[in-house]
Order: sequence, then C-alpha cells, then structure tokens
Amino acid sequence: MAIGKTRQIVLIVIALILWSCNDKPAEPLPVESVFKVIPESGSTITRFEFNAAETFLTANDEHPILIRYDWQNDGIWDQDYTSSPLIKHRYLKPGTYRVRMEARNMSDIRDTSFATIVVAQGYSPPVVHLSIQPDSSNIYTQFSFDASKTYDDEDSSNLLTFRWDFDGDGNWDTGFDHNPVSLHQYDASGKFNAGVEVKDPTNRSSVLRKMVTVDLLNDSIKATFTADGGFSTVVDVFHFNASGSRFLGRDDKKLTYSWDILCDGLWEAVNLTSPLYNLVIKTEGIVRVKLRVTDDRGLYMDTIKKIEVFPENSPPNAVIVAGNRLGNLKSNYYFHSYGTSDRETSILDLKYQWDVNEDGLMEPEFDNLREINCHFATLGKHLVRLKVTDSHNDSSTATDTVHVYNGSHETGVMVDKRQFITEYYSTVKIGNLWWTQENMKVEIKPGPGGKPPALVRMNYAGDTTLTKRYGGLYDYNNVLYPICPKGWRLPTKAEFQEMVNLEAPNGFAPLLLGGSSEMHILMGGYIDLTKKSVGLKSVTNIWLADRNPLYAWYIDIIKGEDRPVIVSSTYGYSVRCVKSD
Amino acid sequence: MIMRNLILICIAMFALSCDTEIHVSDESGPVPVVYCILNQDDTIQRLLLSKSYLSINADIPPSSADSLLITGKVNVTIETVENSQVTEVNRFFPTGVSKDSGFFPNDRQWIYQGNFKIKEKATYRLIIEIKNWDYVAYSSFQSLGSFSLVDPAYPVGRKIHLLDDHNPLVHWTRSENAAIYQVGFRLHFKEIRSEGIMDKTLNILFATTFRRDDPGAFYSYTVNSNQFYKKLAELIPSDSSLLRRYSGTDVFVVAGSESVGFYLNSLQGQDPFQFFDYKNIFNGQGLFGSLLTAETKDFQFDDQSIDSLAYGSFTKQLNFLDSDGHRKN
Repeated sequence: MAIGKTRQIVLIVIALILWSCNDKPAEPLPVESVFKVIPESGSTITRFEFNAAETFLTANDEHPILIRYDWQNDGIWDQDYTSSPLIKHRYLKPGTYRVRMEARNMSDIRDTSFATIVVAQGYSPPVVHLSIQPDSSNIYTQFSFDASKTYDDEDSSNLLTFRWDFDGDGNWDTGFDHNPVSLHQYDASGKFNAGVEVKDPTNRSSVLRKMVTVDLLNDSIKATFTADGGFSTVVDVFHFNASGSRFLGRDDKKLTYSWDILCDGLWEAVNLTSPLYNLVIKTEGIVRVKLRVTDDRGLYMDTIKKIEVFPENSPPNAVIVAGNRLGNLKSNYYFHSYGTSDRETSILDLKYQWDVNEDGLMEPEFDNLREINCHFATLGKHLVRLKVTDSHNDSSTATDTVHVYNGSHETGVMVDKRQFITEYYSTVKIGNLWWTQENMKVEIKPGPGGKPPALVRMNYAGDTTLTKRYGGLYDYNNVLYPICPKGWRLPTKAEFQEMVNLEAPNGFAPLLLGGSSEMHILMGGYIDLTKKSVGLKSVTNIWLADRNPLYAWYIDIIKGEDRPVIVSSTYGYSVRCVKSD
Repeated sequence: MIMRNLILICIAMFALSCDTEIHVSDESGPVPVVYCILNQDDTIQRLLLSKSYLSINADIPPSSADSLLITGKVNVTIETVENSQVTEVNRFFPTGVSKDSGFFPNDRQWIYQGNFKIKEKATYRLIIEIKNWDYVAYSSFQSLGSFSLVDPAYPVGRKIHLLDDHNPLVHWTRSENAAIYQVGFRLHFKEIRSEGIMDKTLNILFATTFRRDDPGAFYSYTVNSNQFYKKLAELIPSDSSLLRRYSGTDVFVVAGSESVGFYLNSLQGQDPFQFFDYKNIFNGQGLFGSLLTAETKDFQFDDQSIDSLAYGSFTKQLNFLDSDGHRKN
C-alpha cells in the first residue's frame, strides 16, 4: 500500500516536471526546400515558372522563410532572396540545366533542392527599342528616330532590318534596310504616332510606336512684357510693353506681337509690329494676359502674366461718433471717427477733416485727427461734420448732432466697451456723485457656452429707434448683470433722494431734459407685468439699488408725481448709473 | 522514509527542470541596424542602414567612425504583398552616407533609396542580404489605410479661431493599421524685408496620440491656442528688421503604422537608465513602418486670431502685421 502511494506521488511529480517544462523556448521550425518547374521542359522563348509553395507551408509572420535560386548550379546565386513562392525565369541558350534552390529561415536553418530542365532552341521576334530626339519640337526640326538598341534573342543585331512610318498613318514611308537610325522633318504641326517595324532573318517582326509632337514654338524667342498699370482700375488704361522680347542671337529678326488679354482664346490684337499696346481692361480682379511673339517664319513663343485690375474706386465710408451728446457751455465734447473704412485705401492713409461750427469750412487745427475734443460757444443744437478723403480724392461726409444746454455743472463721458460697438454716455457731476445723463442702452449677446451670459434689453413697443433716444428697458434680473460698466453702479434710493433735494426741491421740472439739474431725464415709459409698453412721453421709472423691497424712482408728468415706489422685479424700467467722485 | 526521499528528489528535479534558459546572445559579430519609415505620401522611399555591436561576445569594434558602416555588397529589397501574392519587388540602392539630422540622426549609416508608391493596406516585406556576412535580416508590416480630416473642413473661407476663449478641435477618421497620430498646422506667411518679400512655410506639430484600437468612427485632438502661439514663438526667430504677414494655414494629421506607434509610444516618458529595445527587425535592430498624412489646405485665421498673432504676449516680437495689415508699435 505504501509502495503504491509512493508510485502515485512519483508519477504526479514527474507529470508536473513534464508540464513545467512547456515554457522552454520553442525550437526553430525546420525548413524543407521543395519546388516544381512548370513546364518541365521548353525552349529558349519559354518563361519557366518555379513554384516553391510547399517550401512556405510552415512559414508565417513569426517564422518567415526566404528562398533564392542558382539557375545553372554554377555556385552563383542568380536570384536574390525573396519571400515569393512563384518566380519566373527564361533560359536564352538551349541546353540541360541543373537548378538549385536554397530556403532559409531567420535562425539560419537552410535546405537545398535541385531540378533538371531541358531547354531547346526557340525563335522569337525582335525586341524593339525606339528613342525619338527631340520628342517635341517645331516644323523646322530634324527629328532623330533611333532603334539601335533593338535586339533579338536568336539573331545578331546587324541581321535585323528596319522600316519607318513617321506620320503614324499606318503606311510605311520607307522600305526595310539595315539602318536602325533615321532622320525626318515634318511639314506641318500636329501629334504623330510614329512607328518602326523590325524584322529578323526568319521574317519574325515587331512594331513599336511613339508619339511625336510637332508645333510652331521657337525656343530662340524670348517673350516678355511689362504691364504698367500700377493701381489701375476698370476705367484706367493699362500700358503693355513687350519691347524686352527678342530673338536670341539675332536682334535683326523682325518680330510681331499678339495679345490675348483674358487668356480666353480671343486675341484682342494680332501681329502688331509695335511692342506697345494700351487697353482698358473692364474685368475686375486677377486676370491673365498672354503675349505671343512671332518671328518671320511664323514660329512663336508665348508668355502669360497675371495682373490685378482693381474695381473703380469707391469713396470712404465715413463714421462719426459723438462721445457726449449732452453738455453745457463748459463741456468738453468728444468726437471720433473709428469705424471709418475704405475698400481701396488703408484707414491710415485716409485724410480726415472736421467742421464743428457749421460754417461749411473745415477747421485746419483738426486736420488728419481721427478724434477731437472741442467746446461750443452757443446754446442749442450743433451739427458736427466729418469729411474723409481717400487716396483717389474721393470723399464722403458724416454728421452727428450734440446739444448744448444752459448749466454750470461739471460734465464728462462714461465709456462702455463691453459691446462690439463702444457706447458713450454723457455724464454730469451733482454733489459728490457722477450721474449718466442718458438712460442705459447696453445689450450683451451670450458668448460660446453662455460666457458671458446675455444681458437682455427690452425696447419700448419693440421699437429700437425709440431705444436710441430713450434708452432700453430692463427687468431687475438683468439690472443685476451688472448693467453698469466697471466703476459704475445703480444709485440708491438715498442717493437719488439727495440729488432731488439738491437739484429739484420744489418739483421734478429741473430733472427733465433741458432742466437746470442737467440730469435730462426723459419720459421713456415702461413695460408692465403683461409685457405691455405704456407711458411713453408721460412716465418714467428708474431702477434703484435698494432691495427687500425693490425700489424705483417714479416720475409722471401728467399726474405731477415724483417719488420712490416699491415695485416688482419683472417690470421693464430705465437705468441710470452713478459713480462716486 | 523512502517516500519522503523520493518526494525530495522529485522536488529537486522539478526545481532544476524549471530553469528558464536565457540566451544572452550566441552571435559573435555585429548586427545590422535598419530604420525604414516608408512615406505613403511620396514615391521616394529611404532606408538607413548601419551596424551595431550588441553581443557581450562581440569583437570590440574599431574606434573609427566608419566602423559602423557596413561594407561590401548589400541587397536591400522591399516586396509588396497583396492577397498573399508578391505583386511588386523594389530594390533600394545606396545613395550616400547620412549627413542630415532627420528622424534618426546619425552620420555613420548608409542611405538607401527606392522609388515607388506605397499601396494602402498592403503587406510590405523588407529583405536585407549582407553578402560579406552571408546574413539576412527581415521585417514586415501592414501599410496604412487612407483616412481623412473631418473637422476643420471646407467650405473654403471658414476661418479658424485661435484665442484664449476657444481651442479648435481637430477630427479625423480612423486609419486602418495605424497606431499613432500627430496633428499639425502648416503656417504660410510672408517675410517683408527691404530687399524683397519671401514666402515662408512652417510646420507646428502637436503631441502624438497613441490610438490603436479605440472604438468610434472618429478620433479627435484639441489644439491648445496658447500652446500654438508659444510653439510658433519658439520656432520663428524674432527679427526687428522685417515684417511678417500671415497668409494661410493647412491643417494635417500624420498617421503612423503599428510599429511606428509602438516605437514612439515606448519613447514617451522613457526612463533614461532603461535601454530602449523595441524593434521589428528579424536578425537586426531598428524599425520598419510607414507614415500617411491627411490634410486640408488653405484655411484662414479670423481677424481676432491674426491680431493675436500680431500683438499677443507670445508672438508680439515676431512682427506680424495685424488684420488691418498694419503694425502698431
């Protein structure tokens, strides 16, 4: 029993030993060289196929096998190593050949096998080679047709005969002779499929054809021209000058000049004796101009140049922007021309002139300034005119209007650059606070991913022209955006009350447009809870910063009321901004 | 007692029998080092060939630089295999000793050159026979399938926005047999000097991404705008005597075969004290693979990006004109 157990354990352990040895490196696979020859015999024109597919039966990406051949077993390998099982070979001499093939793998294990092939004499037609020099030239050229590299596997080259078809019409232009080279000159331009037929002494023959291009081009003509147009437009004259063209080495040759202005095949001028040509090109953009210079034999050379034809000059687009539209006799009014553009002239090369006193004359002190500051000496409405002139002396004007009111407050400008177009607001200093004299108009579209978030502006009755005068209307959520630019904020109820106490203690009239407070408050109406626009020209509500409850400053000129009121956040009201001094 | 002895003997045999044989190398001579990355976008193909002494039993190589050049006749052949048939055999011929600093810089290697177009999704086999050594090295790989850029894409005139607020996303379709991709921008610009205007082109390459068998029809890479401008500033020398004007941008993606992917991937974060040993050459060292490019040409940056090129913190010293064609100093 004990011996039986021992035997069992020993067998188990031996099994483990055998199993554990499986991770030893695999032995390289054997290589066996085997190939077949198809056909087994043939002639000197037979292409024998050597098929070693059996050799590659054990080959794969991890165990590649390569083979090579020694076609006559002379010890020199004639075929380089290949992974292809199929190789073709032709024996050019009759006889009995012993073929050797070697197969090897990447572990340098090799095997060699042999086969015997009987090759009889065969007969094949000549193998034709044809060279034409040049293969493209003009009608005055002697073309050289050279078939001297033609060979025949069985016959000497000097036993071969040749005949020629130069124009490719299928009719042989010469009889057979032993000269493999022939010269020919064509009498017309065109493309010709020229051919040669080569015959061996057994009357076996081969034909080879090649294309010859015969043209009227002359490489000796140098065609060139200049286009003196500069910044020429569709109404200007281009001056073409081909006097730089010449016949190389023969300055006495008479040349004529033809012009195809748009390279459309329509020649605007043909065979001019003068190299000069003037023309208005009415096609706008980049156009191609072809010059053809022709010699006295009718041969020519072309050249093409691109020129740019600019559109007829357009006047500048003048833009004037008033920074502060409201002010008093002491106010410094700011104007700029940013946004002015011109299609043909750089904005830096435009000429800027300003007329600020409505006398029709430009003020020389402001010449070529893109922004100006000025004062006005009289009350009322003032028209300011900007004239912009481009490099073609075309000009345009733009105007803007500002108002000068009676008042003595310090005034200024608030700049809001948060939108694509910078907005300006007139400001007035009352007490220790700067106030905007106009209602906010800002509207911010959402950016990618909602950054920045939208600031939604409502327009009275949906009419944006009213917004230009009365400003926008905003619900309280949008007012919290913040609606005022950096450094500015909503006024508190206490601050508004203090301003009213200071400037309009006896009624709201001084607060209105033209009033002595210079707050220039307009009755812009509001949008109620039903989103209805009401109260234009009679009522205004201006948001205040106070919360819990929400307040607005309410003025109704019909009812004669002027006070802070508690309101709902969903109303659409006007906004003024303040800044501490 | 007998049983215990038998067990001990067997365990000892078991332990001894499980020794793994380690073949350090039984070669006593040098081995060829081959680098051949076929360019599927071109017809001129190159192969770099030198030799190396890897075996501890190898002869100590001579000290001269030429010692790494293989002398004597060497046959370099690349076979194209389609449907298990060798359909094309191309011989490479030596054109000189490498002097450039290209993909595998080394001035001690032969450059072999062949002239043929690489077919898509075909097997390529490389056979190098070194006559003097009676030695054969071999490799094979699958060429890449065509692929295309999906985004950015035409219509012509669509502009690229490269600013802090937006990093453009490049999408492309998967290339069969590819394992690695690299996105690049080819920037065209003009250098305006007093003596004339020169057209210039610059490739800006971003990080490689190893994507072998990721699911999905498309792969993507986000181009970091700041990184683009920073790379540009590193590649273009600042020169206050000239002005530069942006002309256009081509966007391209280069795909690499599996062997190239494994090679480049293994270089990522490589321990400097760890020898790099990826190869796919039988009886040699080196790499055999291919690259293929998909590109879309003639994009334009939008005006804001051109202005950023002109006045941005990374590139302002490069003197690019802004979108108005001006330079405000």
